[in-house]
Amino acid sequence: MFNFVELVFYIYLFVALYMTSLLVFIWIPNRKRLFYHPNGKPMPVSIIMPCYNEAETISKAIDSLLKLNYPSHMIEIIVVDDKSKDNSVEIVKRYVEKYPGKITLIVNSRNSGGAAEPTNIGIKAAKYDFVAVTDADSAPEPDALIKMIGFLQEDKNVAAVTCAVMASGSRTFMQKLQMIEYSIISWSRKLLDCIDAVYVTPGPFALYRKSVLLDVGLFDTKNLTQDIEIVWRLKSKGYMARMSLGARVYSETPMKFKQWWRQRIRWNIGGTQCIVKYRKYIFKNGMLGGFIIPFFSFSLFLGLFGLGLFLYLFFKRIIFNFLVTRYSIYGGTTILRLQDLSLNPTVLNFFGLVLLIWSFIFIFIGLSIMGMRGKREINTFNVLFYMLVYLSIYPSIMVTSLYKYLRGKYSW
Amino acid sequence: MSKHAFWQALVFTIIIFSLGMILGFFLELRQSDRVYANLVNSELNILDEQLRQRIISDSNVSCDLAKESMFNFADKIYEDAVDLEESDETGRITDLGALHKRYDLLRTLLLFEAEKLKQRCMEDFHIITYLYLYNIEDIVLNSKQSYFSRQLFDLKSEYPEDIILIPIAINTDVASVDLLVKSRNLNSYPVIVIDGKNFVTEFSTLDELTNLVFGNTSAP
Repeated sequence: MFNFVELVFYIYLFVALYMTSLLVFIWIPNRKRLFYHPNGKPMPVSIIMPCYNEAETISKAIDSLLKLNYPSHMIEIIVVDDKSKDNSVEIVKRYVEKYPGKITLIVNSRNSGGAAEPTNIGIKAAKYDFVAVTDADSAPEPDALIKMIGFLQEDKNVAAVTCAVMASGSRTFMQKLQMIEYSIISWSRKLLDCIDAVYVTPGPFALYRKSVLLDVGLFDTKNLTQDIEIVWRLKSKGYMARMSLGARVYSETPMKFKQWWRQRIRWNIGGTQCIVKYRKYIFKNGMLGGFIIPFFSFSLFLGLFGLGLFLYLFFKRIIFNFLVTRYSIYGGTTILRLQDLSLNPTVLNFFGLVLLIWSFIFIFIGLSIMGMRGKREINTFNVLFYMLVYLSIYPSIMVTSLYKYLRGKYSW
Repeated sequence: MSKHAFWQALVFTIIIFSLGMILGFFLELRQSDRVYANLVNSELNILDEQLRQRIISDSNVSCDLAKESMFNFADKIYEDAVDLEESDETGRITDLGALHKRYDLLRTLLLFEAEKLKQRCMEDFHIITYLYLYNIEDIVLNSKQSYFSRQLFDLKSEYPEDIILIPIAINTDVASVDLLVKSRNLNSYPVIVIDGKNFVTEFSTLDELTNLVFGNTSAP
């Protein structure tokens, strides 16, 4: 009958099946409303762009803001430089000269080492109550802002609005995988929006109420994922965050594994900081304590435990095979017999296959909805690689980030 | 808000999981059809073995005929055991513990028959009893058993007509097996018992084991 390890496998399979089923059951009744957004009435918006060594991308980012389908006189752009070492400031100065009164440059007196402090400086300097925050390596689509602002106008309780963050580059294999990932995350986030469980307003482009941000104390400069932390804080104070799936922003993604790894470590440390900071809200405060915090905590636990178990079984098997092979070589006996290669499927294999197919369908539905099907980068091999290899790296990221977090040695 | 999705997904997952378990159960049943057929056959085999023993001891059956019959029977049981081992490795729902016990009983009976026949006919075949621990977690012990098992498999393949190989698990809670182990003062496992007098508990090469089985005389 089942042993402990098999029981753990069944629990993992159950949880994975439940989570994907949950998203499917949210999607089915909401599938025709996913791209819905309230008709927004243009109102003045301050767009804050924190910047640090972004000379390569900042022009494109500012240009995209200037091209927004939004009344020009209702937009002010505030670029806050965090003491860049490259010529970002010179580039922005040229824009300031070209668009006087529309674009403002603020240079921080020090390098804060993160995005929160320059963002907060920009928010304080903003003229308008609606503030958008954008990264200096991101470019929102022209209609992004107008598709988002309606959520703030429709419900006074909504304090933040996020949009679909899409990966802009596809030069490397790593970026192609991130294209799949970003699309699926955007779709899933919209599904979570249907149950009031948006847990992050990512940095590439998000809209907030300035008065509320000031009221809750602005972005946390100590948190490595200030865009997650702010949403948890807003939710803990009774505010809502919404998502406009029709609004898109394209963001640069890491080209190489090493950059990607560092980014994900930062995200995970930030997530862990949030869990620790808001642990008292678990099972309280609506969806924050009822779903978001348990979901984050449980994912962390399952990831770490699963990796530990996998490593235990893997090394046990390696040691066993090593010993038997060594003995066999020493003893001059057969090293491998046909009966050692059991090809009969087990029930666990069967469940695993069902889950794999189910997840594959789920991802393809998501990619279709996000309009990614048919793109050259989205082929079956890349999707399978994303599912079977890319996602399986995450537990290792969790372990590393937890180790760094516990040692207290982490930075942006 | 779609908060009903939480319980809907739970019900759906439970249904899929239950269906999966039921399907898996039938899948395993199909896979282990041969083993279950053997379960029925094992009853017949036990009776068959008992009767064979009686016929051989009471009647005037020639030693050659008795030996041939016993070797055929031993080979058949060995094949059944390989089937059983394979099903045991892939089986996750069905418990094959009882079947293991039956086969251990049968092999113990076979051991006694082989010993009697060897005594009676002064036959020159060798009885190799392999006493091992079933279902153990210890990696070192497990790998040692796996090696012993491979070694004996190779030996048996090399000399099919000269060796009768009887593997018996000693920890399946079978009273007669327990008694056998106690009566022979065995306390270190796994152990290869050659003709009831030589015991191999440490690693040896295939050549060393071959020499030990066939004595100083060169192997046939």
